[in-house]
Amino acid sequence: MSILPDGIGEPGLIWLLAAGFLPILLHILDRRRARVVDWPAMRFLVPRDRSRLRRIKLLEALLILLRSLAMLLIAYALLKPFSRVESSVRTRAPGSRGVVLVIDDSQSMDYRAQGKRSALENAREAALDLLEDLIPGDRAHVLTTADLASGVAAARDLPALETGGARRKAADVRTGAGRFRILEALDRAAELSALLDTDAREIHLLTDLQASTFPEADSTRIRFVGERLRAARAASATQIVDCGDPGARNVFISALEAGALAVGTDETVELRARVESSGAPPAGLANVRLFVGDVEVAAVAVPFDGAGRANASFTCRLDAPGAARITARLAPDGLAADDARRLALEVLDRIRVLVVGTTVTDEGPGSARNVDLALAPRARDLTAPPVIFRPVFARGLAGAEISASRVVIITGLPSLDRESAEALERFVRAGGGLLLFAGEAVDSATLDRELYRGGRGILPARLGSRSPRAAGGSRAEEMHPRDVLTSHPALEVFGAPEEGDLSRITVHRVTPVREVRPDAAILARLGEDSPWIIEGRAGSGKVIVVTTSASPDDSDLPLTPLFLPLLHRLVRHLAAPEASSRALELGDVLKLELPPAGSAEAGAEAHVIDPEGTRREASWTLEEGRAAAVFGDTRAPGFYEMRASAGAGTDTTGLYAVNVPAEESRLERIPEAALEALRDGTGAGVTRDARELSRSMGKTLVERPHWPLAAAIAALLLMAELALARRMSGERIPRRGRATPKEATAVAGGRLS
Amino acid sequence: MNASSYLDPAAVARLGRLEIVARTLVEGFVKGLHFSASKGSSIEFAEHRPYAAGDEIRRIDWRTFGKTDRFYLKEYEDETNVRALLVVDTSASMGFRSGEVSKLRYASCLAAALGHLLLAQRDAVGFAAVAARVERYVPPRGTPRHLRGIFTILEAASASGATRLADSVNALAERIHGRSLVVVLSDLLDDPRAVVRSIAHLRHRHSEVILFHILDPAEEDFPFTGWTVFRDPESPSVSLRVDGRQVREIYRENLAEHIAILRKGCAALEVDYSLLYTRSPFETALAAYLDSRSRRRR
Repeated sequence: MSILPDGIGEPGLIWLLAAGFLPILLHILDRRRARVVDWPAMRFLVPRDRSRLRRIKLLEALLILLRSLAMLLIAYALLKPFSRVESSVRTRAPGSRGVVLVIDDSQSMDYRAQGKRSALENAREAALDLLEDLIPGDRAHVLTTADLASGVAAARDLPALETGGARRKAADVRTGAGRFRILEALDRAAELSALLDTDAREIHLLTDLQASTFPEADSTRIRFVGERLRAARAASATQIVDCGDPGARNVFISALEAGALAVGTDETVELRARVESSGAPPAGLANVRLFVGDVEVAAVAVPFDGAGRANASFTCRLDAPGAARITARLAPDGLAADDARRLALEVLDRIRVLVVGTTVTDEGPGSARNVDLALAPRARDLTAPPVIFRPVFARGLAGAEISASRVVIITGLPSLDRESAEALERFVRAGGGLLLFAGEAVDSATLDRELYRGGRGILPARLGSRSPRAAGGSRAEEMHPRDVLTSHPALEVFGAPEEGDLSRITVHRVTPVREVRPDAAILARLGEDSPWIIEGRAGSGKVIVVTTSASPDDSDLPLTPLFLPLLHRLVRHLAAPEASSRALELGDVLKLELPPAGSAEAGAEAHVIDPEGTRREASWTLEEGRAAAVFGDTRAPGFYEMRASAGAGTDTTGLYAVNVPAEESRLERIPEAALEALRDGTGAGVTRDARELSRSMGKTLVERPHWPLAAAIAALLLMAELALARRMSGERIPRRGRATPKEATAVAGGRLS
Repeated sequence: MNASSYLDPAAVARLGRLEIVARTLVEGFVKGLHFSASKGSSIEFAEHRPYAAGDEIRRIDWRTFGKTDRFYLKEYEDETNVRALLVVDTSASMGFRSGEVSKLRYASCLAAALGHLLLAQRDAVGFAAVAARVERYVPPRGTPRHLRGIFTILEAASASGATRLADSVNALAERIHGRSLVVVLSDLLDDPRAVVRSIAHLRHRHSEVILFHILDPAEEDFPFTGWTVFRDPESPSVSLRVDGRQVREIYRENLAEHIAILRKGCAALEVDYSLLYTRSPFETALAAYLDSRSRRRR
């Protein structure tokens, strides 16, 4: 804690010390620069009384002390320091009072130790107590994180409230979606404080001092905010009020995840929940229960590791197709909002796949027969796959119902018109999947022109032309897949040799790859310069290119048992929705795009059912030519269901899981050193107990400048110094009975003349 | 140039040779008094005495010779042949000067003028230069040539050595025989009580004493306001680093006390004490001398 008064920072302290030491320095220099004089009357320089010499030295020291103190006080006065003194509201000097109250309403403020009040309740009570002491004519701003997030310009537009309005706003504060940052709050508060045309200005930050509220260790920024506060003449009356619990302990679920592949009905799904803790490490087990909808389907107890973390895994089957509401729960503790974590999981019963090829009945270049058979096995002894694929064959893209499908597989495409290419690109960018078997019947030049477009299209790589088939049917050099990326969700099963070894596949012919987009991933290779499976993203969709055909002409893959699981996993991967688009945190915006045919014009309707079950209206936006419904008021954790319709056939529904950010669950407090730096840099005080603030609410803090007193004392000291210096130099009336030499001369001269 | 300007010490110092200085000072001073030293009322007949070998022939009273046929010389009251001794302090401290004239130069000029005046009154003039001891002693004689010799010694004198005025005066008191006029010119930077005792010694030997206390104006004003290293010219190893402002009062008190002791001691011994500064006009000193002489005659 700084002992310096407000208005004096570290540079000021240096000035003060320099001013204080200046007379001593000058004294030393003066002594060193003494001139040498031959002086015959040495006998008169030494007093007979030795104590008088001591007194002179004492007076000399006193003189230097007086000068040092005077200089110190002058420098002090020039720095214009001030202190805050409490002044009773009832007896305070006439003049209005301006208060900026910033209430941290982030989720962590809901923490409540057993038998105690929550940090937000403490903050609310302190705010109301403070506002209670305002009188008519006083002004107040009450800010929450939502006001801070709207930016400086918007915050400046906030009208200062009359006392009644301020009290109402403070009383209605609830935890919301915002993330509180102390420096940002001080900055905004200083800005607003400067606009208050009141005689006294105060800023109060009511927060739980959570570590995440002060992530900055940048002293420059701290000093900058301090300067802003001083410029607003509010630095001395700025208080950061600790409303939190220093001993807070919290256990929470920081993540709930499913696999990256599309989940089918009646399929065993593996779910993983990660449990973390803050504060003292918890003892015992973490009891995690899993709910699908409102039904508990599993429960596990897992031990915490040394860092207070635990991982829980569940398997379950989801019968009903559609969006599943999956929730992992812990026993409620001090912060209940983060004891449940939600996951919106789309369960598919059928995946409509558009298969485009030259034929589906016969083998041959561009044939889709093997793909069709793999997606929909017709042999009696084959069991149906967990996810039922519904392949629809088309000989070309023109006229095909692309948008009705989830995935498009191309095995043969001799020609591609511009309109079909555009339709395919729109389909992919909207979230669809494209699997391209680049065999002999695919025109590379057309694909390059229409779908790669120098890297701006949807294809992840530019394909080259194949060399003509060797005469007599002789085959080229044999190649085998290598460098298989088994960490990829679609290929992870091939990491275990017993499940299938892709390197046993023999490839005879391959379409050369001329260029790979920088953001594309090569999932498997055939040689150093010969990628085999390449994946890229385009918009919300995914595209996978296989540089061999789906027929046995290029490789023996279609004839091996590996073809079916590889194709299924690639298609399920392509069909899986973007996980992040449905897993949101408080404050994120829900967005639901309409099908391409939809328009947000007349008749369009979008609404949201929030976690409370309340129907709330959503708004519309237009992105890349497609209408999308958006909803931003996600201040409560839970499931949000959004429904949008822009006419017949465009009904769309989206389920979103909104969770508390893990950052809000970590209740570690700002380290003392950081708090000290904050105090020193900004000049703000820290009140450790909100009740302490309440007790002092009957008083207001008034800035009392120190410089008049300092200047007056300095003037007195200088006068004393002058008098002492004159006394020491003998400029005073001589004592009776002793004549000065001049007097002696006069007497002698008078008698002798 | 008017007569009074010759009495200004700085102007006098520029005149050069002491003989000229002495003559100029005395003549200027006498003109200022508006009477002639050779026609003063103080030259009064006292008695006749028989001629003796060595007496000047021009002093024989021829009228009495005509009446008595014997050689008689007329004796006058002012021709009592006062033996004056000019004692000049030539210690190192006398070399100090803050202006154009050092204390030694001032004392030399004043001594020369007094010598000239004494000789004009037909007194015998002697000289002694004193510092740590009697550096030079010239017995009194009443001839102009003798006085010129004293001037030569004075011109050659330089300020050196420690001040032990009391010892030197005591030594001189032993050398002087009979009634004498002893004129002491010194800054008296010695133990004032010892100085008074030494003057008492002279008085005990029936000598009249005139004490000229010569100081530099800076020694009275003490114009030092900052840190200064004061070095004793008589013993350079002794120095004192003090702030002039702080010791000024002490200095002036000590100096005033020093002067008071001297003045009180001189008054008790019926010795004329005169404090002079090197800026004081010589008129003051010469007037003091004449005043002293006239009072003694009465």
